[in-house]
Amino acid sequence: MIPTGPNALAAAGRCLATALLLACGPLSPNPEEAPGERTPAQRQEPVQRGDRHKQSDGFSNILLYTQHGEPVHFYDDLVKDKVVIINLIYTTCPKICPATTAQLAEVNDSLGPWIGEDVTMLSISIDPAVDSPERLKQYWELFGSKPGWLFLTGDYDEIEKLRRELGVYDLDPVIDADKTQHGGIVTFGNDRTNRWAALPALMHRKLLAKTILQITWDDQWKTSARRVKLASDAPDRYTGHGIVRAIHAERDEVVIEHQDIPGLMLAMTMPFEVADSALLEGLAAGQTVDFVIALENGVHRVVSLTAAPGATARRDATATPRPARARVGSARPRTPDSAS
Amino acid sequence: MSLSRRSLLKTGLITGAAGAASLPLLASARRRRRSSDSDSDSDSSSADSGKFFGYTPFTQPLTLPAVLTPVKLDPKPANYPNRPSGVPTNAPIAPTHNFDDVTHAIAPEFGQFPDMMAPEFREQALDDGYSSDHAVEFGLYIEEVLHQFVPKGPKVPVFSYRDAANEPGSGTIPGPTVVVDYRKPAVLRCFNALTEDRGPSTGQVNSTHHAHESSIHLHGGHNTAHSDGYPDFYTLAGESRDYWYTNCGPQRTIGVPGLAPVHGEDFDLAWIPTTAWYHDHAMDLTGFNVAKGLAGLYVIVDDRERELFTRGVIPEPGGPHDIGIALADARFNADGTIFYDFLDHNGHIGDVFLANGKVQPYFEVEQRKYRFRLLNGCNARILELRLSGGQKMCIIGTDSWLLPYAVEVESFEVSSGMRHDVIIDFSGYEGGDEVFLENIMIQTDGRKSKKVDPDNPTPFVKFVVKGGTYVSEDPCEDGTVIRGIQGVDTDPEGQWAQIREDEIVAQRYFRFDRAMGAFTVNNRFFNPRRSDANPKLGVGAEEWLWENKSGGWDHPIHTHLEGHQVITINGELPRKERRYNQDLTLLHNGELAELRIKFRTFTGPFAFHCHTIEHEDMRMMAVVDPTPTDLTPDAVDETPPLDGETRIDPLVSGVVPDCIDLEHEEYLYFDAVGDLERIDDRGVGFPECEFDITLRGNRGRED
Repeated sequence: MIPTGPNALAAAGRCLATALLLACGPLSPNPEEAPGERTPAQRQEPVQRGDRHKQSDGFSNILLYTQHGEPVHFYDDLVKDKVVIINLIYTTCPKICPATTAQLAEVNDSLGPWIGEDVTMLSISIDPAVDSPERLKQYWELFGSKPGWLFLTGDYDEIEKLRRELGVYDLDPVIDADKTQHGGIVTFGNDRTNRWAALPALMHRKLLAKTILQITWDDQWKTSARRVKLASDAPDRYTGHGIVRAIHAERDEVVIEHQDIPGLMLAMTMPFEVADSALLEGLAAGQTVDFVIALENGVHRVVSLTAAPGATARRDATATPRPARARVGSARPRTPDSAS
Repeated sequence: MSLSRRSLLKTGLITGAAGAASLPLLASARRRRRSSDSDSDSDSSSADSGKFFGYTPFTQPLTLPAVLTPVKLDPKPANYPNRPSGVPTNAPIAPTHNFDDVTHAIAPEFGQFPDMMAPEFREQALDDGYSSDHAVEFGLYIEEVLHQFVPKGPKVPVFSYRDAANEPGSGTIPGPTVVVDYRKPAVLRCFNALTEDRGPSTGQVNSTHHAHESSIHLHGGHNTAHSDGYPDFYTLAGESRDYWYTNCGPQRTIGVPGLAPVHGEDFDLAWIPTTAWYHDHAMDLTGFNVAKGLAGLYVIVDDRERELFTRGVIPEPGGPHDIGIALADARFNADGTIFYDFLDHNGHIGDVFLANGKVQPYFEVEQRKYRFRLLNGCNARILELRLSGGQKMCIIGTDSWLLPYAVEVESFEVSSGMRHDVIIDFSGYEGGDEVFLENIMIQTDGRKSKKVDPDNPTPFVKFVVKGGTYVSEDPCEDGTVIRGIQGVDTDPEGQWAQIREDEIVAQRYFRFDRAMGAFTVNNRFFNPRRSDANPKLGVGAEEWLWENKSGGWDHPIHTHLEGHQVITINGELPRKERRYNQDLTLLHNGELAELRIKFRTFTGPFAFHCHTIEHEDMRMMAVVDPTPTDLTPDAVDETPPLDGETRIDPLVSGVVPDCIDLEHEEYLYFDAVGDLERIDDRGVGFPECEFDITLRGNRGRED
């Protein structure tokens, strides 16, 4: 029923034009360079390390520095023939990075027997001008100095290129220019098996750890552990200390110039959402406070706010001492989660 | 007249299947046709570099996948040897790497739904050694083989489905076409041969050197959760699983809340399936697996279609003029191997265009009517298909279901996963005429289609009209009765019917959004162990509102278990061919769809999700777990919340909170197959834990 003889080709432009469309070539990680729109010369562009048979063939081998000041090449030293978990951070990031980094700290615990031995976690700064190795070391320490976890900085332009190669970009240039958009994805893969995937970092934590194992495991993992205790999913609590700089009661927000908050963020001045607007009553700028942050489903909110003992801010004399008002778990998550 | 299965097999073929061979993205397309004398600069240099291994388009024939051969399975379904003592012979066990053990077993509902089989098949089924619940058996291997996309091109590794009756290594893309009769249930045993140590000894190649888990989804079928291809109800490498396919539509419901569902032989004839397809659905990995070739067509033939044939309205179902074509776009490395970017989460777009796994083939046609079952097997590309020359096509079915009346169009839009059943009449052509099936949708990334550009067609297939074989038939034209409408057309049986407003017992709203580089449904990332909606099984209908709020993205949303009917999109009627039954609705950027859907026959879990596969892999998926309410009235909200919040009844749910929910697991297990031991213990899918199998499904409860 199917003709098999030679077929006269229509000489019409349709076929010829179509033939020209059949270009093939390695994919550029740059979404602007859609293959159909590239010139033939671009199509022939050589790729690193040969053809794109492996995902890592598209990764730049850029020079980075670890939080220990050690120079490393991204591909040669960190990815080649290894299992990696990669996310993008910057230490002054007020919202998403603390949540995702705290999440990855838990994943680090869950993967305990294998971390550093069979799996390495790479947190790459997309704000390298600020994030020096020294500052990244503070950040690493803030999250518990966990093993097998490198915080990396380098050249801005090179890291931007790597970010796109890792698929962490948005086709909308306005969104793409917003650094906070890039902290939500965790990418993981095994370069030996060329198995890669990415997931939203703030999804169900145990499912994330399980999936990382399932995608990246191969028979070359050295550790013979047969099971590992999973990290708890209980809401996390963090305590901070700082000075109130502004109060925006209309949006349940208080701006605090805070010191380092262990496990969450380095010292900075930033707005915090409060779980209950009552926490803002009687509060005044300039007041020194102790506060508790609850991190649930990737959203952190202040759940307790009290004047620090011995604080001597000018208006403290008239302020009523406030009891702690923890409103645990009452807030509805406003960012995506899958833990419920 | 009726077409026996034997004659179907003899005619061979049917439909070709689908295959999504691969990757999606981009169109290569979009170069102007040569008639323009502009851009001569690029054309001159691309003449050499641009060809695909020297292939001149439309010089290789379209291939039609073989029909899957019935076999006798050994061991018999639900009667597996080597079960540990105390384990029922139909229950899942931990993987043994022995296909004969069928470690993933069969749906727990198998053996308890004898009404799914039509009475005329029953006696023969038992005589032939089958069962009350199935009358035919198939075997399907998943294996990695070499495939040639063009005649002189390299043979490159692909993932394929292979008929168990054929030699190892003979898998094809698309996979073999399954052809079955309506209400003749089948058991298809899937053998996943993609083991880490596969190679010449298994008739395969091994391009990845690691094992691949799979899950086969029968897209458009109405089946149990175990057989539906739920994202993590895997068929693990080296293991086998029995998929029980009812080949039937849903059991009818009654529209009165509070009364028990109708069960038994009272089927909703408005939902008789026709053109389904099967493809991989493994969690996190579907994009890669489908891009590598895992897809095939699945055709169900009922008496209404046979009657339409005898009346000359459509060509013979399964006959030589009933042709399945899976369209796909692929990307290749310079050496001809398939390229897939695991980290392109926008959606995979290809620049080489395939029909049934071959680059731009031709197909010789007689001067007569043909039926084409056209599948968009791309991962992410949306197509607007037309015939060159402007001839109209007569659409008789969308997705798995025939339309009430034929709809004539000059072009139609299909997203990833959609099927359109189309009659094309070549009787008006002369011998030697050529007609192209071509795409006029411009799309350069997986985010969304850009625009329809009639001046910029990309042909997929060239039809070459043979002379001297003119066949005179009644035309298929706008309004030709196909299924007819209940209450309007009295002649045919199995008419289409709209789900009525007064059947609606609940309303839900789902927002499809983008968040932090991934995708969400109602602000949540997919979790296979969390139900996002628990409709009442077999009671009335639900009204769902779907809104695409993701800011500049297109999302085709697919429902498992049941199709749905779109009432409005942005308050307007949908395109005229997509107002009836469908299992996919394309939400363009910002669109709000109002649709109606029922949940019948089987308890969940079932997924519904974006069918742009990279979006799906990035968690744009949600779970619906229909729950029988007459037994456990507290299990479901009397008024389901609009946000789809769940109420799970652990006794009946496949999403058993205290059993397989990671939420409640203290440990992550790990052994030589990665974390899979934990799943293995539970048999991948249905756990050996505290749920009551006798409560599952819509059965055993008299009105």
